[in-house]
Amino acid sequence: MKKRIILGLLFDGTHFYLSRNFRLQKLGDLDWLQLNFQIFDLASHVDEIAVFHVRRTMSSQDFGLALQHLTSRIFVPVSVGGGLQNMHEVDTMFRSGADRIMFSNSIWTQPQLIRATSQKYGAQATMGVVNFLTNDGGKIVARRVQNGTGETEEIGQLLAAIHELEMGELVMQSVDRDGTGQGYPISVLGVLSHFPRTPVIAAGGFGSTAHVAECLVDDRLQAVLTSNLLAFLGDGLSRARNHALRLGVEMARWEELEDFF
Amino acid sequence: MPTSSRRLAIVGLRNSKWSNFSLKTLGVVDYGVGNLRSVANALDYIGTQWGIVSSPDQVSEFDRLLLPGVGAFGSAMDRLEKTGLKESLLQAYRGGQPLLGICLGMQLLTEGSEESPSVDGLGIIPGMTTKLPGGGIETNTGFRTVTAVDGDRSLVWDKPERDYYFNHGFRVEPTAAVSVGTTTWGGLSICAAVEFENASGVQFHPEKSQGQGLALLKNFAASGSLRL
Repeated sequence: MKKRIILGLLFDGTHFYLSRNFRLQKLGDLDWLQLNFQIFDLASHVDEIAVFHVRRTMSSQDFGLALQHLTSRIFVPVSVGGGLQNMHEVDTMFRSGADRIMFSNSIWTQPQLIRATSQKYGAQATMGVVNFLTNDGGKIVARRVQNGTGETEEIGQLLAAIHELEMGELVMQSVDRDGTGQGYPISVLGVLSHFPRTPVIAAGGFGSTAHVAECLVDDRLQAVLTSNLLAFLGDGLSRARNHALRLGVEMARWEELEDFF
Repeated sequence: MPTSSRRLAIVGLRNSKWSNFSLKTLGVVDYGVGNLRSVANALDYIGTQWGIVSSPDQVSEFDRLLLPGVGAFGSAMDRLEKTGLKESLLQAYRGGQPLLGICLGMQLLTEGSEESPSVDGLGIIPGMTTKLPGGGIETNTGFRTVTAVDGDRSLVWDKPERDYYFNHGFRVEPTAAVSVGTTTWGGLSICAAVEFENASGVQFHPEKSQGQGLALLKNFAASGSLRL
């Protein structure tokens, strides 16, 4: 299996954001992102795009239109997540360019929505996102949003639920390292030893090509996901990819659009 | 309905591989599930004229048909049956209209699937769709290398191997020599692309496979086959 680098975009439908420990900081709109980050060029150096619908001030219908615009020149897979409530919203995302749907809180609150998505679009079209952190007692716990506030839950139950729902992939996202650029807490992967069937994506903390490569060489991980645009300015993700290839990581090789068109 | 992108129509003509071909109109079959938007973006990019096929009478309006796919086998066949598209697609195939199935669309071309054992497929490709062999991870997600079965004829035009994006839990097992591309899964060689008479199928997503995927779609628009 070839390893993957996934670019995460925190998007409210008009503006993009950075996140640090799950606190959002507004960056700019798509024109700004293209001007400063050449987002459409960036997309040709990553294996996948993950779009997180943040703030949820926009209806799913309008967000779908924004997603259509965003993905119109992106020819890699697009995963979308962020508070989807029902199948109508799920359908809207698929119709707007999503290839897969990421679920987080719904694993607790709406497993039937995940089953329905899986039944209609196939289990491979679903991804579970576990936001984890270390509590005061040094234990790894899962973050869950209830009544607008973040609470913690035992992580094993959540992983078991994802396993039982047969979701296609699992995103293990570090809340503590989110946006810090300090690297991914790779030791946490020990909690996954009872759930070997679900492919795992590491997210949170990537700040350098070395951080990315450290995870890509780990047999337990299929991919890394970074939303830290500032850490990978310019050709940062391309350099991370080349660094991993030099370390012997098997990654996709593709010709750029200009090679053909 | 979206039409070809002017800029890309122009740059596409610059490539001598396609310059001897005129791109035909593509009908994208809409059966209620699937990633039509992604396919639409790709077709706009390659500069071909295309439209949606959502009723049986629209099938004959296009030179070539494209059956995209994200979804479950049973619900997809149910939609094709209820809309009358199943019979019209079969008629189009029998009449020689080139047809390309993508991912689930390729699986729908087979006789049936373990995903929905009581449901018949279109029965165009001889063989069945079966669950990927277990032994660990059971969903094939990500880029994999596809090797052309006949090394002289690559899936695009100049290389016997290229990487394409896969995302599936079931695979096509043809019972005749129709496989034109393979990839590996769990140490096994599995079918990645088929061609049978005027029907073609790819298990991967060309619309999500960067330049080589778009080139493959352009080949189909130009020649009605995976290759020029």
